[in-house]
Amino acid sequence: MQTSLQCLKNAATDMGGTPSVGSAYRPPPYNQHLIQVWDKWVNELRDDTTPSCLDLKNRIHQHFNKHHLLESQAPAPNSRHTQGLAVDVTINLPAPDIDALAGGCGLHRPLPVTDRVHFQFP
Amino acid sequence: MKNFIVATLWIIFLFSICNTATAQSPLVGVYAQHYGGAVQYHYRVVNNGMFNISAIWIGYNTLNDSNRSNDVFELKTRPSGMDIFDIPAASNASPLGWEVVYIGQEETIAHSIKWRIADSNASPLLVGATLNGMRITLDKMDSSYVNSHATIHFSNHPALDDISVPLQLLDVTPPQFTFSLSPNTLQQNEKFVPISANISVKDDYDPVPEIKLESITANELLEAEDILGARLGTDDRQFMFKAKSEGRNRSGRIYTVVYSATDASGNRAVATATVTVRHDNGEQDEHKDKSGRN
Repeated sequence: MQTSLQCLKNAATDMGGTPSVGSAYRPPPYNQHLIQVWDKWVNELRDDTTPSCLDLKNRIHQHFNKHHLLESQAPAPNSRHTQGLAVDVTINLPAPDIDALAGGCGLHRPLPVTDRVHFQFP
Repeated sequence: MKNFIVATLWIIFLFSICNTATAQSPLVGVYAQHYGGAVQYHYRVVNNGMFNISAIWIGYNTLNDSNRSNDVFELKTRPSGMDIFDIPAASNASPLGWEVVYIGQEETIAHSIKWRIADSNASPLLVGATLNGMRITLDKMDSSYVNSHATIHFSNHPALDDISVPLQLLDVTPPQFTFSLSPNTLQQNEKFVPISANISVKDDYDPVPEIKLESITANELLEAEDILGARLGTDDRQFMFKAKSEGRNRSGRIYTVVYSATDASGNRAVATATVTVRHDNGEQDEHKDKSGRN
């Protein structure tokens, strides 16, 4: 994966893009932690109005943001990230260019709309 | 006497179980409608539970266990006009004080749709109350929007108290559907005759059920060019039949046409009508003369 990732970063840079690597390999316990944080915020505390929970609510929200989690996208329990088979890269180039570059490096984006930063081995 | 007491106690026991289950589980109903070439899914929640409800999550099943890693995102088709994560205003409706959000799962197309109170000042769904006005529009029918689950979140309760319930399909009746073909009798002359289908359809929930021409068959072997302009699998109500008959059947050639009407909730009705090609009388007489029999 490191070879493919470096290939993609170089290719994107050569085309004038500025690739930014987000999530890469996630150890399973870390992935589990992300699931728990996401669940705690989205399912439990986000809409909680109990005054005594306000402090906990704020701390969990900060933790949620620290991991760059999105409310609209739950972490996957069996993520390919936990197997070292996927990497999230933000690339500021047109979508067809990104997909062509990824293909040249042995990667592809299975969900270019809903998970546009996610690259994995075919 | 002993048997009577046992039976009575058993009935009371069963009633108490059923009554408790009904009283504690909110009901989430769904029906669907075709609308302007799209399909709209409408949801209704009846709070039969013991706590106020602050969120209803369609297409999300916790399996009612404490393990969040095995939760299932069940919806497949994204709402109409979606770009990334925002459901366009034209593709949804929410009750006053509630909002709708799209929640997907990374690395999959599976997702869910969640309605929740818009802010802490909005009123939750109170015990005993009913919430209407939740609607999602899709470009096409997707049975996962009626056959999946809803997860209920109660106000100021931990997520462990969430309940996942199967969606209850409110529209379970197929459309009332009839049709006739015009003309339904042809004189044999080897010419093509335009046939029109006159369709009457009515449904208790869907104002415009989907009509499909399912099949056209005959009681004789058909040649490829005996039927013109019929597009199977579409709402095709105009086509042409060749007014031809082999003459082996006393009744003549009978074309049998099948249409279906399917409401947006998936209930389907099928109807059949026929067009008969009558033998030319002169030709029949001629056959009789030559063979000596009818």
